[in-house]
Amino acid sequence: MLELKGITKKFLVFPAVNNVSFEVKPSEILGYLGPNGAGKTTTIKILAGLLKPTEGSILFSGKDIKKNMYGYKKRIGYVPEESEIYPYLSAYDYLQMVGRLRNIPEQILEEKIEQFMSFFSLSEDMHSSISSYSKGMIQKVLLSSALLHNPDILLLDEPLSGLDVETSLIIKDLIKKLSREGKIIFYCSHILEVVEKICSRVIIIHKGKIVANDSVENLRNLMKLPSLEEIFNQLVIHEDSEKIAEGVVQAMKHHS
Amino acid sequence: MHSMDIYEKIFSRSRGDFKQWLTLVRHFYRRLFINDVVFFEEQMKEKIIAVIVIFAVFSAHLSHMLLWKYAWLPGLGSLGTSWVEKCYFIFFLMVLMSFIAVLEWDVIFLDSRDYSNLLPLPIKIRNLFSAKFASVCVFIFLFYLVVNSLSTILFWFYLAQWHSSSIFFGLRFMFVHWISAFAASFFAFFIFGFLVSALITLFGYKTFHQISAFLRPVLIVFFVFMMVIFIAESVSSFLLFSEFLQLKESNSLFLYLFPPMWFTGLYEVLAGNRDPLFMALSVFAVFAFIIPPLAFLLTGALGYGRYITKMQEVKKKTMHLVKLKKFLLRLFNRVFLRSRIQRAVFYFFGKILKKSILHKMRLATYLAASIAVILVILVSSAGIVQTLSTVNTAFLSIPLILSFFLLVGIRVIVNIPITVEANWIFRLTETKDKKDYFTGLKKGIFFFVLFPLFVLLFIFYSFLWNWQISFFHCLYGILASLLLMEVLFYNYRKIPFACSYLPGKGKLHYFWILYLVSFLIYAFLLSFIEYKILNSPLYLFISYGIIFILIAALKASKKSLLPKRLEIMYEEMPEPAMVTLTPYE
Repeated sequence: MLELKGITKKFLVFPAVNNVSFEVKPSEILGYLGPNGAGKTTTIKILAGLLKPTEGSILFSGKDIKKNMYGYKKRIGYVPEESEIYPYLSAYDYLQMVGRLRNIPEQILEEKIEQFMSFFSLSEDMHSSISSYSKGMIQKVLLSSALLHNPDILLLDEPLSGLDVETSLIIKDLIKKLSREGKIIFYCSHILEVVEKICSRVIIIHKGKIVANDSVENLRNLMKLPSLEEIFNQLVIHEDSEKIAEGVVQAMKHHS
Repeated sequence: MHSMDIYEKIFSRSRGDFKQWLTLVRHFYRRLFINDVVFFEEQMKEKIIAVIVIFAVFSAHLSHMLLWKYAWLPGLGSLGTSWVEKCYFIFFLMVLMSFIAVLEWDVIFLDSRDYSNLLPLPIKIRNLFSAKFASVCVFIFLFYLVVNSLSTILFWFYLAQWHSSSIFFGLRFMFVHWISAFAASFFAFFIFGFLVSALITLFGYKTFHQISAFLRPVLIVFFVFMMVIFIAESVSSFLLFSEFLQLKESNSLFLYLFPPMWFTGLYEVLAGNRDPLFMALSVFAVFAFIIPPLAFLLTGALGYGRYITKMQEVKKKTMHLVKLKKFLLRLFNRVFLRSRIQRAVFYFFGKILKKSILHKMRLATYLAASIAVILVILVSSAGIVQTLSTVNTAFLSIPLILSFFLLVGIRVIVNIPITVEANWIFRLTETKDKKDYFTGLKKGIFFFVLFPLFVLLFIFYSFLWNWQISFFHCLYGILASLLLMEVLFYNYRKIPFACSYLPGKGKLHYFWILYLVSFLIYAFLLSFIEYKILNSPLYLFISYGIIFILIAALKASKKSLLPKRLEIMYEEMPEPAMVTLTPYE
């Protein structure tokens, strides 16, 4: 089980994440929702060990990850939100490098890369520079690199971003299958429909604080609202979206 | 009234077009300072001013060096030989402008960023293309204006004021100097502009980039070398130009084939010289001024459609690794790169060095500087170089000079990150034992840089002397290079090309004497020692042993002195504003 206890992350004096606590069990897909700037990416970066929390601790299987950060990092797979990848390498070079850094034996690594590339229809392009890839292709490479070493924890930050419909369906099914295999899945997204469909539990974060933490079903019943979108609107969005839309249209018409 | 409306419509449309065109010119002009090699996005003004001041002062210094004799010997001006100095100066300006053109190589033409941002906008192709051309012209003009301003005054001061003190004559002389040298600079820049557009038109975008990857570093090496020669050997290189006086007497064909002479001809003719040779050369100059920009425009227009379609396509390259290659790679990995971390860093270093133009260009400048130093040494020690077949210190120092510059260059470029935000993958996969990261890098430097260098040198020396001497000499050079690599990377705590850095930490302005002395000891003292012992196998093997012991001692001291749990420095921190002398820190 992965547990966050009172995690706070301050940039200068401003808290991006404020006293956040939750846990994710094996076989669970936790959806992590929030508007822009709510603290989603900060949380996922803390979970990946890329940022140190100002306060609080993270426990994995009951042990503080700080005590064995290397061991913990070996067991996570991470897909970042932006295309943070080396554009000068090809997909093959990149995955080979990641596999080696993850200490995967060469023969197995070679086979795995070929299989992943084939599943994601990248076999033809795997020797071209990543700089020439579309956003979806880059996302496929990042997903492959996160899955190469068969991690126990998957940290996914907008994993469907830029993917075509077919690949999105494959990834959604893959996530469900991985959760059945006992993996811990932390799924960070803006796309409410996807979260509603695949996540067993949802956390909504707003201005660095958790405002909801329950299953979609329970949230619906509790708030007496028909969909996750309505719940999200109720909890997080305090602006009149229609009024904003009207303002934008007026601005468009100005001078034309 | 109706016709007035039409005129107004046309006028407002063309005014809108012109505004758009001006915006594009400004945009493209700015892009000339942000490309693969020249990156002036931060502190742009300061950097541009610094570069221009350096070139302006240097061109003024060169003019002074060439012409001061005319101030002391006024009769010299009446001999009518000053065209040689003019030719040399024009040659310098042409080299400088060609160098600038090669630095701007990837943005002389519209690039992918321009296309992806500008094509969706309602911009006429004509506007896009002419704005690009205009921005390049403005760039050449302004650069030339600043670089040549001081020289124009100096040329007038040393050459013209002895003929006449009239202001009109002086202004005319300055104008003639200015316009002839400008024509030469314009020609030099657009020759490369034409080369770029011709390559794109002939081979298409993909092949153009493949050719560029090879051609551009070669050109950079050549032009940096030329610049070093202008700086370090301006007097002796000018002596070669003095030979032109005899060539003129014999009406040599070379003068017609040497472009700086065309513009010297134009200079002389505009200044009133009616010599038939200069008259003929000035005609060449006029054509040379017009043809390259026209050819650039024409080939650019032809290649434009092709470029635009190729740019939109996703490059598809299928590369099937040959079984033999795979087998050899596996064998190589098993023998030399046993740890997987070493393999990852080793190949990462190799791939980035191969594909990143910025890093390649930076390293090419170090290589060019080393070649220039070698040539200066060979020329200045002509006495001992007369017999190539004899072993001498000048030839012995070549590998050490090359390896010194290359290793220092690598030490600098590995600090420059490539997509620093992508380094999360190294952070996420970091292992306890950091030694493998640094070993992988050192092996990368050896196999990708030093080994190919010494193989080439071995072939060179085998032809020059014999293979036995060549072998022992190269072995000495390799060991010395490995020792230097250990010294240079003693405190290195980063993953190459993957960590942020703060420029200026080398403190060149404080430690340049130390660097110079290190270079002199490494390149010349070691080659002097080698010269003394090369005939004695015993001493030679003792020297190998000593270098080997020094390398081992450095490694051992690193193990014992540095902290056991090394941390990789992903973020370079600025040094504290105040440095204390507290011994406990």
